[in-house]
Amino acid sequence: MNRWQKIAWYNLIIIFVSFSLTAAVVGILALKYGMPKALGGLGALGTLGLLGLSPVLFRKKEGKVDYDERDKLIFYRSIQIAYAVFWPVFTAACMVPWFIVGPNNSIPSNALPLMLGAVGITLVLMQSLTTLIQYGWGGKEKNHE
Amino acid sequence: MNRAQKMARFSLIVILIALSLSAITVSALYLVVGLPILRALAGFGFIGICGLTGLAPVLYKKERGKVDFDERDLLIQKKALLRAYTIFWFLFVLAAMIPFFILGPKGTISVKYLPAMVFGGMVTVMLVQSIVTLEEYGRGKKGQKK
Repeated sequence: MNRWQKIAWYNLIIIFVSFSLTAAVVGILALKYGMPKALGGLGALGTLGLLGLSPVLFRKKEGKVDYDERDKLIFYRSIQIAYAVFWPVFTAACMVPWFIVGPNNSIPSNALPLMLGAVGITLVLMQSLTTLIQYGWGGKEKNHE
Repeated sequence: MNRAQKMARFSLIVILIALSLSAITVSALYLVVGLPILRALAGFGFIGICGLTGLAPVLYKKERGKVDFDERDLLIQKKALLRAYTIFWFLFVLAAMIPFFILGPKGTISVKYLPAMVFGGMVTVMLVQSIVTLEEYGRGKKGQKK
């Protein structure tokens, strides 16, 4: 398994754990305190910040070939696919509230950072998934290290 | 000038015309006609001209039986896309976070801001992609004709 695959797996695990943890916390709080207060459990999504550690955890090794042309191609293709998914998601995130609320109404300003986060996570998720799919989920890839 | 360059040049011209006309109209409606700024912003309707960029693949069709692009063209295309999305993300984060910091977490913002973000994002990506493509080929002089 090469560096890109490790990063992709790490991202997928963090996203899955964060969403599971958040669902569990919100569920438990909803049973205990009721719904509006239970939404405080969304704070568990902060664990997604661990995604930023992937370049530190899976560092490039000095003096060793880190990737070849095939890895580069897979990386670019995963970005292309991720952005192909990104645009419908981004457009939907912007247009669905517009259709629901109506053109002359307002939305809470904290919806914007939430949208930013959701769109960003979708992009990372799609890139990680497409990277792993292209490498064959880790089984077929030769280690460059 | 190859196909990618022609398409980039066409997109760049269309976007610049749309942005210029919008800016001129908004300014004229606000400063000359004296409309309130919210009504003068209707001049941004000229951004719709950007829809013409969708004609680029039709106007500059791939020629059958001829090699359309090589590895260098592909590399330039990828570099242009990467730079376009790098700038897009920077602006997207600003567009999402600045209203949040100005209005505060309990403030509200007009829902019209959201479609503006989508169009702004699309225009940014197309504009940067076209500029980077033309810059990488050397603004038309060095790009080899296929």
